[in-house]
Amino acid sequence: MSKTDSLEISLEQALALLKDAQHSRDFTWPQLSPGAAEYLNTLQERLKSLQSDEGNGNIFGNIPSLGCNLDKPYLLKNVDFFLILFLDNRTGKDCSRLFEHLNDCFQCAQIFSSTLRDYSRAYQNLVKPRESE
Amino acid sequence: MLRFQNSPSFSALLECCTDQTSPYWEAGWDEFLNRYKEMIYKFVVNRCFNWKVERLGMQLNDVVNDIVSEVYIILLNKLYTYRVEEGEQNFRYWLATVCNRASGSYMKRRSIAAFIAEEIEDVEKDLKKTTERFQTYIRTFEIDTRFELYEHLVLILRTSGEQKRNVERDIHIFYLYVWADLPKQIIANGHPCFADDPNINEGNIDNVIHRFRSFLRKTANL
Repeated sequence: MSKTDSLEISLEQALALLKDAQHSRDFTWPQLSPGAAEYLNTLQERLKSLQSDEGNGNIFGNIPSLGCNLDKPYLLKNVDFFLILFLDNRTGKDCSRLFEHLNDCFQCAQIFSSTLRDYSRAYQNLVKPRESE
Repeated sequence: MLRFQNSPSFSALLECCTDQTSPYWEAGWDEFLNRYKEMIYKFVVNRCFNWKVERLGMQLNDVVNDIVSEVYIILLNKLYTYRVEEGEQNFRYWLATVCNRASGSYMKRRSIAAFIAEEIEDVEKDLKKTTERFQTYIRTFEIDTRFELYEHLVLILRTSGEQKRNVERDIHIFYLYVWADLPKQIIANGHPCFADDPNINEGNIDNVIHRFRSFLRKTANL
């Protein structure tokens, strides 16, 4: 059984947990602090809301063309975006608009790569101990 | 060559320098350099410090002299575009902009060249070595310098002739591996846009990097 410590968790750790819950047959929820559990619950509810709303397709449609304002990059704290990107499995993703924006916007590219790195590490930390058991 | 009797005013000086038919053209440029050469060098040296010239194994002196030569050529061709009525104070800002742009342009070209300079012998080891060197180099930059270099790199790679559908994806892959230092395994298997795409695997990522590297070499005439 994989465990997290009882500290609050980051968005990336939460995404990794939710992804693991989606995919792993032998997934069990680790021990979480009340704050972390509430955060996860909030994210799950938010994801359901985004998925039930047809406008979730706009998550990709809303990606700005060209770069962002220096003080307000599109991906900064954009939880909705990362929820759909990492956890919505219903349809194939047309990421072409995302690629173009990340190439145009250095700030968003940095945010994206940092999120992807932290998410992947968190996911590996969940999966690896199980695989070695 | 005619010489000035008295030190010319700013507007008279610019007029001489921008009129090749003027008998005072040469004298004008002599006077111009007397007044502004030191300022030009200072602007260029400052920019070279931002770009961490020594990290590319270059001598600061050589780089500064190269860039200053480029600035002189720009001034020869573009000085006429400065509106004299803006005055001498504003002219310093204009000159600073010219020097900053020339420095930035030069350093961007050399930074990209540093990534592709060495011949590929052992493909895998060489690629690892050059990407590590490039990552070490860009980490020393201030954020606005990194921003500038990133924009420049994307601009060049977009002219690589790949299909538009693939070029943006491949530039993104190039950024993730070469710049952001993400392992190929994460890019191929952890990236939500690629995890279910059989066309993106670690081998394809290598192909993307090598293809772009070859293109950059060709562009830089190395």
